[in-house]
Amino acid sequence: MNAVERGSLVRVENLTMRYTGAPKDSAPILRINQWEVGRGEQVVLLGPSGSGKTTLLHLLSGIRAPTAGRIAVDDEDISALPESRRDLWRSRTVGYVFQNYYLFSALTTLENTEMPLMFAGVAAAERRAMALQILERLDLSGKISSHPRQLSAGEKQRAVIARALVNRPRLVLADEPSAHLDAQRRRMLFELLRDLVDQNGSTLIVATHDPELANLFSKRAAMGQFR
Amino acid sequence: MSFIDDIRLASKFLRDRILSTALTILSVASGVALIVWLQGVTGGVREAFVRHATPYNLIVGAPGSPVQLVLSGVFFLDRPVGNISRDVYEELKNDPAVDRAVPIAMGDSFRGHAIVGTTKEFFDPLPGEKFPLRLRAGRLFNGNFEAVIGARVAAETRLEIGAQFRSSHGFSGGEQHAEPMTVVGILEPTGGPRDGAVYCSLESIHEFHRHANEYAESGGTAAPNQMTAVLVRPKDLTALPLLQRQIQMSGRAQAVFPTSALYQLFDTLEIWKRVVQVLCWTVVAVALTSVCITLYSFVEERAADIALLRALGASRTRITRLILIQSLLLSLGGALTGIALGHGLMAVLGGVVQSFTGVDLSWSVMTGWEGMILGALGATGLVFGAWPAWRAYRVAAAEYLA
Ligand SMILES: Nc1ncnc2c1ncn2[C@@H]1O[C@H](COP(=O)(O)OP(=O)(O)OP(=O)(O)O)[C@@H](O)[C@H]1O
Ligand SMILES: [Mg+2]
Repeated sequence: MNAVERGSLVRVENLTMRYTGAPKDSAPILRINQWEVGRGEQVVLLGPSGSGKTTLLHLLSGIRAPTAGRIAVDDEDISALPESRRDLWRSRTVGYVFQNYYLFSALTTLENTEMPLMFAGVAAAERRAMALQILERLDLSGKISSHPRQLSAGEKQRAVIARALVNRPRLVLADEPSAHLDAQRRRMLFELLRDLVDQNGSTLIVATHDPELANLFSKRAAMGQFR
Repeated sequence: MSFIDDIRLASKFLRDRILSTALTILSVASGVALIVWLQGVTGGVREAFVRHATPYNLIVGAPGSPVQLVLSGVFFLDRPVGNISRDVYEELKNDPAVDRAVPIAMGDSFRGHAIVGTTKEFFDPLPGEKFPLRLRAGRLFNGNFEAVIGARVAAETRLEIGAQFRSSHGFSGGEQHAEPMTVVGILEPTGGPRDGAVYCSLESIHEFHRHANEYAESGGTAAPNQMTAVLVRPKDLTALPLLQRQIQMSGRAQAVFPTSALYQLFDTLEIWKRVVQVLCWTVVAVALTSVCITLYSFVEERAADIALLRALGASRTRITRLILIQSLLLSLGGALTGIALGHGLMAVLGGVVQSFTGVDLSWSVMTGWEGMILGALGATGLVFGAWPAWRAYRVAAAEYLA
């Protein structure tokens, strides 16, 4: 194993992504010959609307499979994993902050936060302790019994982040994680997310179309290069 | 314990849609309640009627419907078939094969309770009798117009020892007799039809109708040489068939085994029970369709939730299981609610039946039957949940997430 391989958490090779139904001869949404993200790195994906940011994050989380190519995360070739193994792998390895909130309306903040741990097979008592801990970090201790409809936009966004980080994932994917907030809160949220990821030693990939936010990151990837 | 987690999660999703959940459970429950109720009522009525039928092996009365003879002579429910000659009674009483023959003369009533003319032997317990008659207060009748009343009559009319009342012709509010009757005894309750009658001597009945010749036409017992029925117990049960045949052959009367007449009645009712049963199961099937529709619309409306579950690491089989558990919770919840409802209905109905017939239905908990309903609904719940579960299995997570 060479040094580069040990140092990279995400490796994408010869990837092509074309949505089914698109004409065979049309240009793919994504074409990546070689792309790596190192362990512990924080990378921003910058590109305009429709440039394929969400698509790339879906591929990295294994929710969607590429048309061709190989994606390895933590030396696991996820495109080769059978689907059920990939689901379990995701519950243990990936934290995903979706572009929209996507909290379960039927569940409280605490229950929403515990969810990835449940699918990872963590025992109930431990689940609760871990969820309470991360909610505390995100200043949501007072809202653990609230349902999503009782939360403000900012609280919902933090709850989503809590859920993404609760399983201490090696890879955190965040899709426009502050789209619904004002500029100041957006900046605060970003700082918080970066801090938490840093403390876990996780790797962060954030997607945004906002160059100002992208400037907060030292490592940037323009979506334009993936065409 | 992922299974317990899934049950919790499934019930939270159901609670989130409490209105449709409640309506679905209620519709399953109403069908199940009907089934439980029907089964309980028919089973309970049959059992109770046989239990309380009579300690006598044979009832002898005027030729006609055997069922009517039993319902009138044993349960005091129907009008008498007609009259038989006193000679029939005398012959039975003197028959060496007969242990006991007790006469019954009917035709009058007091506030809907039959007045039964009989002899004191009627009150003597028979060997092995399950519900023997006992006096709670007072004594048996001696002279004319003295009455012993059943426990239910006492409870409903509040007549006490020494109280007087006037009986009427026929069974539903006919002309009142001039001579009042006096209560001399009150019986202990037996839970059977005998609680609902008023007893007096044969002579009292005949005295009443001495001046009422027109009464004979209404089917009641009027003349001293007539009576309604004779209850017979043989010395030896093996003599019973011969005894019955002799009476039947005589042409003057019919002899009926009370329990077999009851079974004959129940067999006729059984066909109707089957019909109603099919209807009940149809109601349940329709209700289960609503389980299917509820879950299907859940999967359609909350596809994003299902996609999110997938994104958070739930496998397709886990999603399928979550939907099937919801289906089970709805169908079993409906079954349990229905069983409870059915028993509630039976309790209400038990009171009604007892007040009309005097038969104490005292519902047993029919565990075998309830277990079968739960099993059947669990299985069909899974079947009806299969389609929405399949839809949930097929949800393409990425399409719903941005
Ligand atoms: N399920 C799909 N089927 C077909 N085409 C799709 C599908 N999802 C996305 N696309 C197309 O793929 C391209 C990239 O979409 P994607 O959602 O990845 O963009 P994005 O960079 O996340 O945009 P935004 O900033 O608006 O969220 C777009 O042209 C979109 O129309
Ligand atoms: Mg997007």
